[in-house]
Amino acid sequence: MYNRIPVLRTERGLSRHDLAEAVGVHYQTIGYIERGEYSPSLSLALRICDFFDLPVEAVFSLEPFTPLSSQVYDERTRP
Amino acid sequence: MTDRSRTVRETRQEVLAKAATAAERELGDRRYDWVRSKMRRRLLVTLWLVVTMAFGAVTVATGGNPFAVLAMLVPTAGVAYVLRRAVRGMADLPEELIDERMVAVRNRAYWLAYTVLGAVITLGLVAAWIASDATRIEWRPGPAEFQAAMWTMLSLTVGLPSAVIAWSEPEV
Repeated sequence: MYNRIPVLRTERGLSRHDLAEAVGVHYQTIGYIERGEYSPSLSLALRICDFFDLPVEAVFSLEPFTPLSSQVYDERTRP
Repeated sequence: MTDRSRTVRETRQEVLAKAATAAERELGDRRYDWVRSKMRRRLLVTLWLVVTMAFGAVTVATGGNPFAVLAMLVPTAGVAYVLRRAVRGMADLPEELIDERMVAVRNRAYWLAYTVLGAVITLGLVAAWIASDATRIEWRPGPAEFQAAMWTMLSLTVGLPSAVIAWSEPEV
């Protein structure tokens, strides 16, 4: 499973410790999720999305994400 | 609710709160970071296996001498303790105090440890049976051999789940 957690964390200036504390897991678990080495439970995935105030499909995907910057740029330049 | 049941509930909550604080401290303990690289963890597992086997061998060789047993018990327990701390107590902490990934890691480790321990016990019993009867060597294990088997099994039972985690996890 793919995710945008590293981007979202960096964007908000959060460390893995900060996010881990907010969603109630060990900081290494965040690392495992970010690297795609562990797929979180539905409950944890929803807690993460709730923390970022984003829908699940914006944070997690079964397909690789396209870079956020190109998505934003495409939307702005689309006629 | 009676006073007694309230006291019991409060005591239980206090115990759980203390356990949670201790678990949090253990999970975040950085004093054992020096042994948490994958290579060092594997070296530690190897050392623990060597010490465990040596414990059994020394017990047999000395006929179960209490001083020799004590001399081997201390390093074996010491290595097992460092092994436990190296994996942040993941194999031993109560399920309520670790997160869902750690529970999954622990379940895998316990399954593998159970399988390995079962194989070791079965092979050991088959070897003892062959040595004592089937080959007509008529080996008769005495108290020292049984004591050695007991210490070895105890060490394996206590340390195997942590050893499996230390050996297999990419990061702890």
